[in-house]
Amino acid sequence: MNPILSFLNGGKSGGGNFVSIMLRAVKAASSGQSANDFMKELSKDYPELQGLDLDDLEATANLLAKKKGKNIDSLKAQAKDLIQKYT
Amino acid sequence: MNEILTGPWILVIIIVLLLFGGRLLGNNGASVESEINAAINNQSVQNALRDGLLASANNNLETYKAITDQNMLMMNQNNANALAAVQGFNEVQRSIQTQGSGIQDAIARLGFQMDSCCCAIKTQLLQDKYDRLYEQYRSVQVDASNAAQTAAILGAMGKWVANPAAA
Repeated sequence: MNPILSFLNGGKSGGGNFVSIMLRAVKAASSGQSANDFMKELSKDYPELQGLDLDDLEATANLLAKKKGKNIDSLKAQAKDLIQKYT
Repeated sequence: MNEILTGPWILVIIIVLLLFGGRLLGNNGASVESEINAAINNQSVQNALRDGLLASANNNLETYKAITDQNMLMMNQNNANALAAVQGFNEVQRSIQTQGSGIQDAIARLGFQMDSCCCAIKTQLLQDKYDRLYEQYRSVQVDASNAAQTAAILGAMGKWVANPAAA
């Protein structure tokens, strides 16, 4: 596998679906689908999303960031950086 | 693109990043860009390595092909040499056989000639011996005849002397 894709997909320690989900999200956002509907649809394919509150994405993002010990603003900047550079 | 950079969509990306980001989150302070650049460099190194290995493999293949071709040429040459040698040996053997046969024929002819010659000499010797004996025989025969005639004459003469005829 291409090491860049491998890296973006999480590498050795990651879950391995980041790139494909990000591309699906870009396509869904472009088509006018709501973020909540997209997440609910996505949860059918990814059990990791099941059990999360997908109606309140802000709360869910904050909760996960806290669990991982990450700053939500830094994550926003990182997410924008990734989207702008690689989509 | 703009939709995803703002509002709830950026939250989607953050949630996905937190759940599936793996190494993107565990970079211990290193920037995402530097990690990605490192990955790109790694890719460049891998490409260079792959190209190097490919070139090496191609060279090896060319070398192997050249060696194989050379071996084939040598084998063909060896076969040709072996064939020529065998043909040469056959020719020499045939020549020796022909010469041997010729020598045998010559010896046989010579033997026959010697035998004929010997026979002729032997015959001639016998003939000469016969001729000599015959000559002796004829001589003795003549002598005997002469002796008989002489004896007869002498006998007649003796009778005449003892009893001369009346005058």
